[in-house]
Amino acid sequence: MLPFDASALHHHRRLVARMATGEPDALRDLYDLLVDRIHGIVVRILRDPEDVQEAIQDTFVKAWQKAATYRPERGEVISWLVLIARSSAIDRVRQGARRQAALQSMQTQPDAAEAIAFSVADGREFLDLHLSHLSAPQRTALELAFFTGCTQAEIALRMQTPLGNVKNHLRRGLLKLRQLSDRYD
Amino acid sequence: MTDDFTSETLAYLLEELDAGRRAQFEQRLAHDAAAEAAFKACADAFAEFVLTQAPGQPIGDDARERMLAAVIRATKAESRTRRTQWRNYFWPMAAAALLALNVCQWIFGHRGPDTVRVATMISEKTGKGTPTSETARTNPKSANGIRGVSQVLPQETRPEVMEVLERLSVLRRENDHLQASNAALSAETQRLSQQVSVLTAASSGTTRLVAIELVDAASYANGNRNGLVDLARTILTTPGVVAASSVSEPSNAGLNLGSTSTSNQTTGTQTGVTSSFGTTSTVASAGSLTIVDSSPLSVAPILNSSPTSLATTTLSGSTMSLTSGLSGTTTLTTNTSGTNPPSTGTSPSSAAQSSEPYAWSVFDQSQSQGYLNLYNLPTVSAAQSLQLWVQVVGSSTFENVGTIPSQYYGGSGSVYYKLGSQSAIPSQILITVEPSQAVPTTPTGAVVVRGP
Repeated sequence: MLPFDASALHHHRRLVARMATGEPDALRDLYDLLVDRIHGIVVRILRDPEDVQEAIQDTFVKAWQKAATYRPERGEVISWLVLIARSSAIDRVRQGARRQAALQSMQTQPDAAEAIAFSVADGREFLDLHLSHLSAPQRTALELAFFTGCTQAEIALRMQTPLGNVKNHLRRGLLKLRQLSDRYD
Repeated sequence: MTDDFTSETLAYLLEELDAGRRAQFEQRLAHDAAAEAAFKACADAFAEFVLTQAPGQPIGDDARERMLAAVIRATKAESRTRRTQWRNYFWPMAAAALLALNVCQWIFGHRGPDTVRVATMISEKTGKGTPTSETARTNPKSANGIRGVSQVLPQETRPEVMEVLERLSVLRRENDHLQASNAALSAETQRLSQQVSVLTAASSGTTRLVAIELVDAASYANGNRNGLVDLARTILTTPGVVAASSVSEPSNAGLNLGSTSTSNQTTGTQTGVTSSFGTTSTVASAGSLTIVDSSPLSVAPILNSSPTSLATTTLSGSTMSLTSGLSGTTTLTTNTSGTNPPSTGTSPSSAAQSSEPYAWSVFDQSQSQGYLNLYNLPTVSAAQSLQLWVQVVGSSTFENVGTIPSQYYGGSGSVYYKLGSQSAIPSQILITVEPSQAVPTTPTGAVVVRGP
């Protein structure tokens, strides 16, 4: 379950609809509501504060530009925005040589995800749920896929496991996430 | 939800699908509500996972405001870019429209108000801006007119548009001036041309020019002509008038340009042929043949010497009909006119492309002299020769004018031919292959080329 109630999700959708009509105030409101969430994600992907700021700005600019194409049938606004943020951040990772540094970081901090997760109170409940249901390889594969922009082959290399296994981990991991979400709803 | 769909959903969310598969996947979502619902569930579940793994982190107020300001700036710039895109097209289109309107005015001779009036009309139509004064409408070049336009323009584009309008105004004035000069020069040229034509025709005694083009059957069938008109343009100052470079034997015939007279019978007698190379024929002839230039023309090799048909080209602006009363006896003479023939060093462009034998002839009645350009003549055996035959107006038989000089065989060249009768006009010309020693009195051999 997304960390937002139904009215919040509905409010997000209305804001995006207003953005699509060119209302800057709607963008301002959405920014105020979700920038901390986006910041958390981007910080996880990028290390350089300047890059982080640029990626966040880029996320909301893209949201403004793509507001008219948003379709609630394919996901909540926060899901849509998370993917935009990830794309903006990964673009920056791929642009420079910082990608290697990110991988290095993952190597030196194998449990970074857990460490960050435990430090945040509002994610604790969900994290416990995930940790208890997702296997470590599934979680690692999903994290690498999302936060580093690694391809599945690169994830296989990083995890030192065959590519087929990585595909399996990703697929089963996503299915479990969905099942958990349904159950929690 | 199948495993494949799950994998594809994840790949789609992570932007790992190539463009083709992505489009295919989106199409599936668009047409399959169940798949779309499953996709939404996956997307939200994945976002939930991500948000849990990377929970929100507060941003400092300064950074928050700074980033928001940057976002707003960027979106405004983006909106401006959208507007600018339209504006980028608008002004060039407006300028093009103004130019087009002015061109139309020039073409159709309407001396209406210029671009300022157009701009004024636009402003009136849209109801924007201050209407221009009547002075501005009737005197568009006035400062009031320009000011009137400037008042309806957006501030940021005003200088640019005003510059264009000023430039248009200057160009308009320059164009008026040039048109006036051009009209005066054209009139003067016309007057001088007339004068030169009259003087030239009077001094050379030329009354009419007859041009005949001889081509082979295939060229005739295809409508191919070999540049007689090009030639005519080089020797005519005005339709029907020869521009003789030297004057000889001014005729008392006077000018009869453009008139048409009837044709009469001409009777030829046996004469010889003389060329500047001393080639002499002993056969019966209706006139004389003179080599114009010994240097062969630069033409393509002969490919087909089988001739037959004919074609006629009428000189531009002149009648092809033949003039004057024809009577008397043709005599053998050498070329004594002194009239320079048209340049043979430069054959018509179209002629250079042909490999068929062909020829063209221009006949100056005042001199009773024809000029014949021959191209791609065939080679013949030593016992044979190429004979030139002329049928004059009113006659039904061909009369021999002379032998084509042998140095032109297998190549090209130019000759004069002169008819015995001062009034004879050729109606048809024929070149045939005949025995060298016993040239018949009428054409019997293979026809190389033939003209009307």
